[in-house]
Amino acid sequence: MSILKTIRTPLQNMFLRVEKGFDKAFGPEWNPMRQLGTLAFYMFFVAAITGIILYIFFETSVEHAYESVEQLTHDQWWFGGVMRSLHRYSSDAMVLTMGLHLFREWSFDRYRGVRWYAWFTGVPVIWLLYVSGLSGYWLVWDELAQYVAVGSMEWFDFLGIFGEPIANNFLAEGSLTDRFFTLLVFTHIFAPLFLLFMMWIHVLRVTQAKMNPPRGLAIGSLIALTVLSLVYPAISHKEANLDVIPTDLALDWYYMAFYPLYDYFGAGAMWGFAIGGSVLLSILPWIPRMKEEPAPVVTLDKCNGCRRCYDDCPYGAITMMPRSDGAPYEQEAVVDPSLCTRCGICVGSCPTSSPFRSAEELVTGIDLVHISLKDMRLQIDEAIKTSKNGIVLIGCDHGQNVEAVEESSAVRLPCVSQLPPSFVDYMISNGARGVMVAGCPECGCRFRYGVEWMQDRLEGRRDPYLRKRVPRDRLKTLWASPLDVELLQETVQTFDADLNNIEKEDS
Amino acid sequence: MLGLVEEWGAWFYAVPFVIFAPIYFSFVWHIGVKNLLKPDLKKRELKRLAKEQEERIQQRRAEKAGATVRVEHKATRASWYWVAQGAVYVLFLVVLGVFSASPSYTYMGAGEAQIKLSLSHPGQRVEPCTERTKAELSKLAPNMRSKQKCSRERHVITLELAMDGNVIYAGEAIPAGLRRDGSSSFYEKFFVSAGKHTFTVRMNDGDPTKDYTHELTQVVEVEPTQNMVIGFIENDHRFYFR
Repeated sequence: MSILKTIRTPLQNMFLRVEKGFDKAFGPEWNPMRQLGTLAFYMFFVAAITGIILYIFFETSVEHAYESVEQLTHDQWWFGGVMRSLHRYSSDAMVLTMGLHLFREWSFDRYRGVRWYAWFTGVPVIWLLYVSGLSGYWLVWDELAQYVAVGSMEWFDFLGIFGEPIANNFLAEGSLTDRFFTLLVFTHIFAPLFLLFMMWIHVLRVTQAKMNPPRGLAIGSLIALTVLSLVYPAISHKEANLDVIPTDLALDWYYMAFYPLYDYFGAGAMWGFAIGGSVLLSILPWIPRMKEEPAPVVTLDKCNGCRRCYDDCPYGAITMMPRSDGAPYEQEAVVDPSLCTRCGICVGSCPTSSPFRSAEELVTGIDLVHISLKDMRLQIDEAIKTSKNGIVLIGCDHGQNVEAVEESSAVRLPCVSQLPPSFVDYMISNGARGVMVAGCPECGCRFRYGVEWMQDRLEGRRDPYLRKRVPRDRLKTLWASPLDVELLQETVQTFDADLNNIEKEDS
Repeated sequence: MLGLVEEWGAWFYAVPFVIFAPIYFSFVWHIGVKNLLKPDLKKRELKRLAKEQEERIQQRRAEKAGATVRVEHKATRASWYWVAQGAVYVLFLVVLGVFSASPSYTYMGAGEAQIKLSLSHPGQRVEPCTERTKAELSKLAPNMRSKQKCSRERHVITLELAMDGNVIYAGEAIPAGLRRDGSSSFYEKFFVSAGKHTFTVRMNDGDPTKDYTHELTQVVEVEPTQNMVIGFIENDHRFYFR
C-alpha cells in the first residue's frame, strides 16, 4: 500500500461515514457532503448580495466607517445587523465548505489525471477568497481591522517591492488617509469579482457543472445562517486607534489563523509557507503522476453518429464532428483524451456494444482500450462459470467490495455504467441465475452520472434500454457505500433466496 | 459630518423595506399570485398537455423496456430526518459561530507597549557633487545646464536603537532603486514593558568620518498598550519620539 493510500484511506472512510449518516438526514440529493462545491458557490453569492446591501449604508471614510457599521449593527439590527452577520457567516462558511471540498476531492483522489485543471485553478481561488475576506475585515475599522491591516501590510513589506513600507500608512493615528482607505474599499470590491472569475475558470472544463445547491439545501442553509445571525450577531471590537495596540482580539479563525503564526514565526517564514504551500498544492496532481490508461477508441465502421456517447459523457470529452470516412452519416464521435476520465460510460451508451456476436465481430463503436468489450465478455463468461450461487456481481473500481461475496463471482469495471444493458440479457441467457449491479451510492458516483445513467438505462428511461424479454426479477441494483459490506452480503443472500423461490414457482 | 441615522433620517429605516419589497413581491408573485391576477389559461393548458405527453412517452418507454428493475438499496431519508437535519444544521452553526470569534487571541500583554522604529531617509551621495566648468556647461543642452554634477548612488544607512543602555536594534538599509538612488527605509517593531525608559536612536547616513551623523536620547514614560513611534523628520533633519 502506497504512503498516499495509507493517508487517504482513513480520510476517505471518514467522509464515507459522514455521507452515509447525512444520507439518512438529507437524502442523497441534498447531502451537504456531496454538495460542498455548490455550497461554496452559494455562500459566495449570499456574501455578495449582503455585501451590496451593506455597501449602501457604508461610509467609505476613515473617520466614519466604524460609526456607520456600528449604527447599522445596533440601530438597524433587524435588517442591517442581520445582513452584516449573514455577510460574515456566509464568507466563513465559504472557507469551511471550500476546505472540506478540497480535502474530500484529495482523499478520493479526484485531483489527478484529467482532473488536474480544476485542482490547479482552485489554488488561486483560495488566495482570492482570503484577499476578499480579509480586505472586508479592514473596512469595519475596529481594533481587529487595525491588527489585520497592519499585519497584512507588514507581511507585504517583507517583499521589499514598495519604495517605502506600506505599513507606514498605519504608523500612528492620523497616518491613514481617506484615499488609502478608499483603496482598501476597492480591494474588497475587486477581489471578489476576480474570485468569481476564477471560480468560473475552476469549473470551466466540467460539462453541466453544478454551481447551485439543491433548493432544499440552499433554503435550509440560508435559514440556518439567519438564525445564527440573530442568535449570535457579528459585532465590532472597539474603534481602531493606531496610537494604541489592541491586546485581546476575537479573531475570525477561518480567515485569521495565519496571523498569530505570523506574529510568532515572522514574515519570511509565512511567505515561505504561503508560496511553498501554494506551489505544493498546485503540483500535487503530478506527485505522483496518475497512471492513465489509453483513451477510448472510436471505430468508425461501427459508429453511425447517434450522439448517445456524446449525450452521456459526464466530462464533455466527446464531440461530434463531420464524418471523415465518407460513410452515409452526418457525424462521428471524436474523443478528447485530455478531458476523458476513462470511465467507460460511453461504451455502455453505444447501441453497437452488443455481446451477442462472435469474438471476431465483437467490436463496438467506442471502446476502452484497457478493458475492451471483448475483455468484458471474457470476464463475464468466466464469472458465469465460476459463480457458486449463479449470481454475477457487477461492481466498479471505486465502490463496493464485490469480490468479498464468496458465493458469487464479480466483475469490476471502471464504472458500472460501462456495462451495456444487453450484457445483462447475455448473462441471463448464458446461464447466470441473477445479475446484481452494485455501484456507488446515489449522487456519489466517482464519474458523476454513472449510477443515474445505469438505473435509467435498466428502467427504460435512457438509451440503450434493457430488452423487454429480460426477466426483471433476476436483476437487481444496489447503490451503496463501500462501507456497506454487510448490506452487500445480505442483499446477495436475499437475492439468492428470491431466485430460489422463483425457480421453485417455475418448476 | 452627521452619522448615518441623522444624515439619512427616516430613510435609514425605510431603505431595508425598499430593498426587501421587490424580493418579497417577486417571491409572492412566483408562488402563485401571477396566476390569480393574470390567469394565462392557454399557457397553463399547453403546459398541462406537454406534461401529459411527457408522461405518455415515459409510460411507453417503460412498457417497451418491461417492468422496473428492483433497486435494493436506495438511500432514503429516515422518518426522523427533520430532527437529524436540524441537528446537522445546529452542529454547522456551532462550528461556524464558535470559530468565527473565539478563542480570543492575546497579541500583546496588557502591561506592555510597542515601539515602532520607522523612517525613510536618503543617505548621502557616494561621490560628492562637483562644480561644472563653463566649458562643460556649454556642451550641455540649455535645459540641462545645472551647475553641479552629482552621482546618483547613495550610501547605505546604519541605524541603532538602545533602550536603557542596551542596544535593541542595530541594522543597515540599502537605498531603494536599481541605481541605489532612493531612500533607505527601516520598519521595525519591539514589545517593551510599560514605564519609564531611556531611548537613544543613532544614525549614520554616509559620513565615514563620524560614528553617527544624527542622534537623539530621550527619557519617555511609555504607557501600557501604547504604540510609540520613533521616526525622522526629513525637513528638520532630526529624530522624533511620539
